[in-house]
Amino acid sequence: MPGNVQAVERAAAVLTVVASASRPLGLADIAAAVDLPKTTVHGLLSTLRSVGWVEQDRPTGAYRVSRALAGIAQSLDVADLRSAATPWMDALAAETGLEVHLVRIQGSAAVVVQHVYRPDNSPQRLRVGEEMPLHATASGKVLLANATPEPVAAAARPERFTRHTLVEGVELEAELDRVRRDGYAMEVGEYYPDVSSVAVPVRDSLGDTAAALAVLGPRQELPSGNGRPDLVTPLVRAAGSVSRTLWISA
Amino acid sequence: MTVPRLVAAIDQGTGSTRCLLFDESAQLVSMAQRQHAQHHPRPGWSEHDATEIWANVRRVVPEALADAGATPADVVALGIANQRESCLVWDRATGQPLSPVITWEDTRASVVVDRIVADGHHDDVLRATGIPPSTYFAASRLRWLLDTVPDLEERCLRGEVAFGTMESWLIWNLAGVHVTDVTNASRTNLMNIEDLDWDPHMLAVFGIPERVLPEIRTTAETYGKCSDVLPGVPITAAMGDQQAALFGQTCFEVGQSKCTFGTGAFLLVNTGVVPQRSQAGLLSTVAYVLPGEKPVFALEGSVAVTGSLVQWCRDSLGLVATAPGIETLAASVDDNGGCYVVPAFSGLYAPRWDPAARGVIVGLTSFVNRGHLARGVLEAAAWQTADVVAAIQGVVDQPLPSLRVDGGMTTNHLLMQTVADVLDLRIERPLYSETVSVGAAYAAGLSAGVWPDLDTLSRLWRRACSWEPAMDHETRERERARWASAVERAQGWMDISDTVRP
Repeated sequence: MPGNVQAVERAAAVLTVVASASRPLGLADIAAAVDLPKTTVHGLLSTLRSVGWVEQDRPTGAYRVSRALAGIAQSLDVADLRSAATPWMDALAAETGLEVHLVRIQGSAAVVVQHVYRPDNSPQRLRVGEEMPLHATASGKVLLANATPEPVAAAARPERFTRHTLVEGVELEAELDRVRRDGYAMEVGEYYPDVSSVAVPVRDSLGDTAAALAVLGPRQELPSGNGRPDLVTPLVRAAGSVSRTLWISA
Repeated sequence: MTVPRLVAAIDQGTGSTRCLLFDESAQLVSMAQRQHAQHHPRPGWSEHDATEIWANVRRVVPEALADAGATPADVVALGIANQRESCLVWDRATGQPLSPVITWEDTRASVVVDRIVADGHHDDVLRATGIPPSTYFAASRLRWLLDTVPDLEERCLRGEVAFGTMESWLIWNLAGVHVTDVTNASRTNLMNIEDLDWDPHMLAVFGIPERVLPEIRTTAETYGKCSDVLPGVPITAAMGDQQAALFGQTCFEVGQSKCTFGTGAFLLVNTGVVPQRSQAGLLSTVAYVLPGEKPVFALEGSVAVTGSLVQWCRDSLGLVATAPGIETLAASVDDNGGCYVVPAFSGLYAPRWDPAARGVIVGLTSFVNRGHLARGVLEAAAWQTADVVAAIQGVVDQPLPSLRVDGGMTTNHLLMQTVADVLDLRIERPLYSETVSVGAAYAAGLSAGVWPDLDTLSRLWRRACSWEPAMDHETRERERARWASAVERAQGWMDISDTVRP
């Protein structure tokens, strides 16, 4: 059998990267993802554009798959995400003894896409599909802090659920800066007064945040003070495992 | 840092071989896995390479150990779970396989089964072994090998050959002893279901020389110590994979049940210490036997096509890009839009048993779209399960308290909710869907004294997810009737011969 045509292989690699991205990508991002020089990738993109397979965003110059090929342009399916994440969520629940959520952003809400119960056989209710506020939950704050593009701003002032809920714009912005800097978010009685949570991002192959992974429990069982809580370590490890599973199955 | 005492499980499955390590609190510490090649040399034939599988065991166990930062000295016991009914013969002197592994999916031995049925032995076999003669079980495959491999029968009579299912092959290679466990032996058509030993009349019916067979042992006892892979570690349990899943789900009480949703679905219910007769398409099987205790039996109902229908939608129809994606597509509509899918790809199994049935999609109108079709696919998995549960409830007096589920499809919430709805039963998923390996580890740890008793194991079971029935009675009965009507339309299709011309 003759060897593969290198140019076709490279074009396919470029197209795969552009098609699987959740947003239009710049030349540098694409070149880095396929590990080729920018000049080579630019040539490939120009050809792909001339045959109508990719389009360029006018203001930014970023590339996306053309509408004609929209069928190929699959963003990460929530069911695939859940399938990849569940074994690691089980292990995280077993290790921490806490309830585990996998959460995605949908419009201006955080939506639970997978839920593993607190492993104590107590009566619990499945919360998959439940919408939660972005600004008052650890998962929501991770998603807000890492969102590209910025989610549609809530119409008015964020709702106050408890006396701990952050509702002032300045407070919330500082909190999101902290989340971006530290790589995790905390929730201390901000949505339900007696519930606390710690969350970290789950990243896709481009480093974008595909979801938030969180552990939740009674306030007295989770840390509330300053300093990095011990729970961040198993969370980051589990989130990394989910990411690697996603890359392998992609 | 000290490594805790570990229990190792090897799951020698149809698609891959895995090693999982658990600590004393039954937490998963590490896992390694390798797939092996599937060979289909002719239509209806399905083989694995026993040498490749053994080589995979020799790789995955050290990988799992390395991942856990452990050495064989940290492992207190090894348990084995295996694909059932797949078997081979090997040379006792050299240890070399004399045949491929002929798998449970292989139907080449139908000539043997046809002959035994034609000779009037069907009822004898069912009475003695608790299961009807079938190509599904190992005896017919062994007879086929004796009929076709040159000199094999003579060499068997001279005691030069060993036969075994996969746990026997692995234990032989690990510890140099020729044994099988009673759950695997119960799937051969050769073991007497009452006294749990090889049945002389069955050996005569199938023409099997007893010298070729392994010794039948209980599910959880020390068979030997590993001289290879895990040197010095005792092998303290072995069981067929579905029984291991039942054990891993800690279904130790009569009436407790589990269903594994994979390419097909396997539902087993614990029926206690008296074997039930196989009936209504259900198979009577040994659940487990602990040393010095009465054997525990199970009824097993299987659905041939569940996950494989989703794979067909992905690979043959291009309906979805990935198997999990079927849920997203199905969730794009509120109901099935009147569309029903009966995946009788190779006939219908329990409880209808119609080999002439073939798949149908009915109820199509111009209203029906891809989403409705996807929903019909998921509902087919749920209703087939409901048919098996209905058959079980016809045999087991008490209503099932709940159904414990595992397998890859349990991340599909729409499917699990539909199963809860149509069964009108609470569905529960445990932490770790790896219940086959959990079961092998539990049995091995029980046998080695890591866990004292079944009650302790029961308390290790942890609910990770549950689905409560939410469908009203009227809707359920209406849908049940429509499903039954769709199944009727699938039945008897192959009776229309190819030779009929208009």
